[in-house]
Amino acid sequence: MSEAAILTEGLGKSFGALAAVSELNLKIQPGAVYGFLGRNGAGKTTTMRMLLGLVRPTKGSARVLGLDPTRETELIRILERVGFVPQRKQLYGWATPAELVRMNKAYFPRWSDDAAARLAQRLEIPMNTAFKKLSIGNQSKVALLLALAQGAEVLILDEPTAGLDPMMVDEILRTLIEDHISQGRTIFVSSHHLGEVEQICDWVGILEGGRLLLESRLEEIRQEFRLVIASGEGLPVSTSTDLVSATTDGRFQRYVVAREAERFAAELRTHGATILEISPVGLRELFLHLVRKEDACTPGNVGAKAAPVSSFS
Amino acid sequence: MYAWKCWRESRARFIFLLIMFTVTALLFTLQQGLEVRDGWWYFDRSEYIRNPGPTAHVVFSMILSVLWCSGFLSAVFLGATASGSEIEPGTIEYLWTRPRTRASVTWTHWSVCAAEMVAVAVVPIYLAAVLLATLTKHWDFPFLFFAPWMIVIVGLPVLGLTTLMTALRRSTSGGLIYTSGVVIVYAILRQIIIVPLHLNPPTLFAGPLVWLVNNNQFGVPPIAFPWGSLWRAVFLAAAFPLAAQYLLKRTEV
Amino acid sequence: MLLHLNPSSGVPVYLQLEAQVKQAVAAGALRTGEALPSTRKLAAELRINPNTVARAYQDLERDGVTRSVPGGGTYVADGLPGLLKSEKVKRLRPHARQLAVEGRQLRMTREETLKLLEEELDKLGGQA
Repeated sequence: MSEAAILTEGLGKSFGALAAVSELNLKIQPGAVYGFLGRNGAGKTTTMRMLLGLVRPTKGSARVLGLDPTRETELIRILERVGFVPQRKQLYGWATPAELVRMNKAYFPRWSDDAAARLAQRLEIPMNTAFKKLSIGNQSKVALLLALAQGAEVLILDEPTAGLDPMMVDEILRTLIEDHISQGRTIFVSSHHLGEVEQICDWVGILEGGRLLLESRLEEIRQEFRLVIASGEGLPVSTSTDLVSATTDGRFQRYVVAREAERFAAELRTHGATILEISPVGLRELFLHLVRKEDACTPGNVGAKAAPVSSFS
Repeated sequence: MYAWKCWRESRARFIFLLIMFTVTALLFTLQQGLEVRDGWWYFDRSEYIRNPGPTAHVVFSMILSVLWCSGFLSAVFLGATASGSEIEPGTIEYLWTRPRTRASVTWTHWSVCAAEMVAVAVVPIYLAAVLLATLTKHWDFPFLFFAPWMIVIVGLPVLGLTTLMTALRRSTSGGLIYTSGVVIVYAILRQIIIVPLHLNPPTLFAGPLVWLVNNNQFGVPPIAFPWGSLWRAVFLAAAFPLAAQYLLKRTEV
Repeated sequence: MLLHLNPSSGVPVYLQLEAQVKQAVAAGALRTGEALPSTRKLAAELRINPNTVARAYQDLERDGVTRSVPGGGTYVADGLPGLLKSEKVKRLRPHARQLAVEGRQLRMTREETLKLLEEELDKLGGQA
């Protein structure tokens, strides 16, 4: 039984009256590539900061590689083995990327000069221009470089590809796959680039208002999740744990079901509904269905982990 | 490494302070012999040879009249980049996710600044002393040799205060302003208390510097060394950074 | 290798990969004994998770389309000699059923459906 790379139990963080994160239960196995999705302000950055000791939880606990980030001695051991790209990729303005690499290298015995050089070249980073003179895109790339060449077992990446052009995003995906995923390293990444998340992640978690709405393997989303569009009046919805989201715009009802779509559709038919469509649902669509404000969303956690779901009619 | 970063970041300010004080000290040393004749500058060494003692005293007073503040200036301008100041710009997210304790970060910065402060106090005065000794052919200037250390001892509490203020205000400018503010307000309050009430309380920690200045004046009897002030200086020099360390350990970003 | 993937087609990526490899072998684009790229290399090329490629490769080997050599490397196997006719029929029947069902749902006649099948076989060419 290998211990989880990242584990949170009832993790919560409140800033005064605002609950940024509530009852978060994550279990990310070593070697997993976990896409952490959510709107801006959903609590993804706060969660990552708690894992790295920058913010202290108000409830629950977090463990990274089995170690507790709220204890300084254990936190140091975490930081030796975890590579982090923060959301705000700010580094020392007067330093050049080459100097930043030299500074960073000293902290990590497993630093790889080869990986750093290769990445600097692939990402076309001007290594001898002062950081404050670099474009925001280049600044992000430097922050990425420092984390990716570190030789870390776990990568925690907060929107690593934000503001980068598609070719750079492509290079980063390639590097992550070749140098990290293939080596069995764990990646915990938050991103708004849902297409890229879909490509490389094997798990996906969707956060909204500080709560995890859904957590599932991507393969399951592709194979089992289905969008069922039906028309009919006053259709009741069973307390099925397979129901991820149910919305209506008057005449049409849209259901996203985690499995056995056919059976669900059959049940709807017995209530007089006409099934208009059963189709696969991509990550973007799923995400939007779950987090749209006007949705009568079903809170809880369906898919891989069945959770109680409220019913409505 | 972080120490290198501290050095690199403060390098320009350090060199500026060093050059400014060194040039001033050397000019003051030479000032006794400089004169203008027929539109040219000439240097006349005779005064140094004839009256080494009094000349040295005059030179020393002039140097001290400017360099007394080098400790304070170093403390404020070099110390304002302590780790607390990285919070607002955002680089703290990088710094505090390196595998080092926050305390070691705080004290590394403090150490680099203290070393720079020592250099800024010692180099100008010792160079001036060497120059003076060469000119007067006299090597007995005890005050000149431990003057820089008095300056440093009085500057260290201010370095600690700056470290604490940047931790509180979370930025370099905030730290600078608040430290200056505290020092100025304290000086004003002290004056307000002393003058109307005709009190003469001992200085909080600047005693050694005051003693240095006073003991160099002609016709003033030597006063006892203010040990109380010295120990208060040492205490504050440690207490302020420790307070900053405690504060930063609990800070969330 | 000229593979392309459609991440939002509802078909899992590993199945798409398998299908494309099988198609390439059937059309002769991949010859017997030819080496497939390593899991890691193909994953990096396609920018997908290596587990996905590994799964596809596993299935391809199970199906006898490829074989792996101890010491690494995946190669196109030669012509499924090991599979019994009954096994082949068992493998192909679900696809045939799907074609039949879809054709019926789309209300195509038997002739139209069969014609479609013939056209596809013709396109593959080569093997009888």
